[in-house]
Amino acid sequence: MRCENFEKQIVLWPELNADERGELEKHLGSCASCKTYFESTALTRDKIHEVGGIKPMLADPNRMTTDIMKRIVTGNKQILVIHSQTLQLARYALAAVSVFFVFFLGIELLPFAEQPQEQTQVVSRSIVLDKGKFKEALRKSRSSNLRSMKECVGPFNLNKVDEACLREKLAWSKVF
Amino acid sequence: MQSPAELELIRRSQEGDQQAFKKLVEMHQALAYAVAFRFTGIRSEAEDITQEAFVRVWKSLGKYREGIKLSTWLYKIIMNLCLDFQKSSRHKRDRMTVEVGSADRTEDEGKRQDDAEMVSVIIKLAKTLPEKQQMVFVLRDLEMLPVDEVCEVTGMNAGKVKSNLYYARMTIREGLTKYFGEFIKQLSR
Repeated sequence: MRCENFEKQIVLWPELNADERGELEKHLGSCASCKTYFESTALTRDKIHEVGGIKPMLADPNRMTTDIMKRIVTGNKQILVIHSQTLQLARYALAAVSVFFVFFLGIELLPFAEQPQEQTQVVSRSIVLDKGKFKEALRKSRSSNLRSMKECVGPFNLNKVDEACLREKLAWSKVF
Repeated sequence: MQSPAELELIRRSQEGDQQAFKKLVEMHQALAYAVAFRFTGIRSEAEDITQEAFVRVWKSLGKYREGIKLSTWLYKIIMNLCLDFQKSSRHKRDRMTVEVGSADRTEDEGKRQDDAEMVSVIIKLAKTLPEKQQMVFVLRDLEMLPVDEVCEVTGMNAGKVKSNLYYARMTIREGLTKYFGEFIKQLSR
């Protein structure tokens, strides 16, 4: 392996496993420039670790704890407030939905709302069932009306029908 | 694995025991703040992220599984919050701002200024990295998490973690050479 291939291993020395370390140490034994690079890298790494050992300290740990606990308590209260607001909204929503259903179902169930439907059904049923009778009745009615009209034609003008006579005839035909 | 005492605190917190959760906060807030600060480099942002992270932990304690460490879970939440912060306009404005003197309270007062400057420079350099490289660098090299935990937090496989780590280290090294040319030369001697 050439020197540039060992550069990454030198930088990642702490992360190498035993075999990789052995291979690198073997190379360092025979390469002065890599050995110098390894040593300077190790010194920089040690310095960084030394700095890492200096922990940034909180200015006031007690205040931090108090602030965190305050936020937790306030957070819990806010959650409760949110819950109560949500419940209130849910109540209103449920009330609105119930009013909606009562209104529409009420209309559907009202007696006057049902009547036209029943009548329509009866009429449609009678039309379907009494089709022949209906045609017969219609034919009779037409011939009766025609007869009435003929009987009410004026004596002088054949195109003119006596209206009073016709009304009377039609009224009689409806009665019977 | 977590200690039985910590597991008990988590269990009680899941049942809504705020005192138990307070103890968990006290146990982990320093770690949370440290990683948030190393990511953002801004004290106030790191504090806000820490607070938000614990609030999120509290809210989603019901989803917590015993197999995963609470600290790993916390790291995950903080990383997500830090990435959100990076995407915000506020971050773009403060991109190169890193508060110097954040690493105060070191044991050796003589080294204090040097360390503070070094921390500031490293965080500033880390902020210039692409987000995956930054995450991996902060978690592995500054937080010193094992590779498998970095994989768990970032959701990357080991190969991706190592690859990102390599590029991140190269950039950081290059940046440190620019800032502390003499220092690096001295190290190399």
